[in-house]
Amino acid sequence: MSKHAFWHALVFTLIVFSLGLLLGFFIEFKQSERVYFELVDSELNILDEQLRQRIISDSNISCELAKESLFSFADKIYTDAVDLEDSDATGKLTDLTVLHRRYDLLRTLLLLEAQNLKERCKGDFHIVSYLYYYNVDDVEISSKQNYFSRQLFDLKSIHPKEVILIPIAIDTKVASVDIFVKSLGNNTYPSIIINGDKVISNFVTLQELEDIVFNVENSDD
Amino acid sequence: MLNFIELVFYVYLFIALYMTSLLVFIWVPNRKNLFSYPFGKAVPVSIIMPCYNDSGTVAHALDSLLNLRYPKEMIEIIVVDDKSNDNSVEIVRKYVEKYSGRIKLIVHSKNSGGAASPTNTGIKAANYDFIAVTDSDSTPEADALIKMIGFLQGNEKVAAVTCAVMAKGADTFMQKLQMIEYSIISWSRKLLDCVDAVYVTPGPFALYRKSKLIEVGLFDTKNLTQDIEIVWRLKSYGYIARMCLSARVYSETPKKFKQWWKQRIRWNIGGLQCILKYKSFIFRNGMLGGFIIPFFSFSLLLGLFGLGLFIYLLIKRTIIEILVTKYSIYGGTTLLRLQDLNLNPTILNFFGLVLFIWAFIFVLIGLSIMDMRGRKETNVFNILYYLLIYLSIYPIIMITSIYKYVTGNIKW
Repeated sequence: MSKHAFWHALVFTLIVFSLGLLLGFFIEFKQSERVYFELVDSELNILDEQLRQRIISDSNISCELAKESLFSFADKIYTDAVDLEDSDATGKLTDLTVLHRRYDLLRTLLLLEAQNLKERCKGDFHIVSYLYYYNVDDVEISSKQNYFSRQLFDLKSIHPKEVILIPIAIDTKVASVDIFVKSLGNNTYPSIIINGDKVISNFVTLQELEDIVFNVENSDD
Repeated sequence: MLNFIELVFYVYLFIALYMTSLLVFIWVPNRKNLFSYPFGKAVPVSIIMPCYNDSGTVAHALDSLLNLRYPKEMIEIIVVDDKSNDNSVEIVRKYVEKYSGRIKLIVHSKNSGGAASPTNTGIKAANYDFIAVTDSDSTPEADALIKMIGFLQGNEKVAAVTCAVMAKGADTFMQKLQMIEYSIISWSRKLLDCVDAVYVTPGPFALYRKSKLIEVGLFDTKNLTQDIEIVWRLKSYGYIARMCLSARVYSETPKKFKQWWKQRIRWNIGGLQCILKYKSFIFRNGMLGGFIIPFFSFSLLLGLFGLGLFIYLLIKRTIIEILVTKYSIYGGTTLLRLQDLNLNPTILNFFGLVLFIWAFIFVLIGLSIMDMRGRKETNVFNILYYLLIYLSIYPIIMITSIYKYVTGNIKW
């Protein structure tokens, strides 16, 4: 009788499983390494941007140049974030929360820079920040976030040079983000903040969103 | 990072990998002896054939018994009709007249609702010490009996012997899938025989010691799978069930989904009845408590839990997609983005793929050993369908069986 087969099979399974997990760790580590390099590159860019802002404000360089570099940086961060989300979705063994937090910090810095530039240069662009939950189990909130995400993507696609899109997760426990969120005085999330003052938490159509974004600027005039 | 659901998937993957590896580890050292059988001396055998509305197949079944390569004077065939309302009795009577002395017919005055009662009637009427039980739609190969009898003669503890049950013909797609299934089951059952874990002596053709059947109280008439229950009972008494892979019996398989579904519900209810009846034996000494009952029980629990989890995830995903689509249509936004189609595989996908390939190889090996490879019924498409779709239905069968059992809807 081959009753030792039970133990042999257990040992074999443990070995194969462990090798599989190790391979998984290795593959995910390689993937997160790539995302990490993107993050470091983005962090360098934000420092670069901050320095540029100081140079611009000190030496009267055109707002157009400043706006161009800000948009380019914001678009890069947005693409990096999409990459990070994809890695997060496929990663089952490595924790990318730290990378998420760093990106949220970066985007908060970007938001402040954008607000400074808009104020200083009377910028003809609109800052659309999107505050969402990173960890969500609720089906309704998840669907709403999904919808907002698509809507803002469409808005950005239609107005690439007029809208700067900054999504920020509000539950990754970054202190500065927590303070910024509290300062808004808004309790309903996900929500879209337009130019730092208009808050949208309910469903609106794309057209309505466009009207709100561009009319807000008009009403300020 | 891993969440609870992903962790559950890992556990399932581990168990699936373990079970298939176990069978391979049993197969490898025993592969040269799988088809061997102990030399048996022909001794008198009573063959019991319960019959109910089998006018289409009973004649063929009787012919195959009459053609067994076994001394004719050492076989008596007892057909027990369970109050058929077709002309099964008339057909059998013709055989009784032609082969008087070799074939007997007993007719029940009312239908018992199962195979156990007519089988018990036949056993009580049997003259000989060895009992073979067969179905009235099954045809054993000519050398099946002589190959099986040796198992009962070498070891007094051996109380039952089964053989390879193969699907008879494959006219419909459903039957082709069952042809694959029966081949793999037969091979797997022989592997379980190598570790004394045979858990059933299927009705199409099985051999028993009459004295042991009487000792344990004959077949359970309340159980829908009396062929599983009798083996568990024999094992609970300390007896052994063996399997002879080189002996084959061909059995009719359901042609259509509805018949197949009904059959599998019955098998599952019977399995459930057995688990509940023998639950006190779990984890006790011997392979019944050490492997068979835990295997059945955990398969049931894992199947139910897995189905529940699958339904939960499916419903959650479906609700999210419906809501997002509804909002997107309302909002005039893009319905589907390239980004939404995340085709990057996860480590779970990788493990799943490895397991699937492993299972596919396992099926190919099994079909090859059972000499079923290369047939048009067992082509690659059918094997893939069997692995991906056919087997996935089982948890639904399980839950339906549990519902029927709990609501008392227990019938053949």
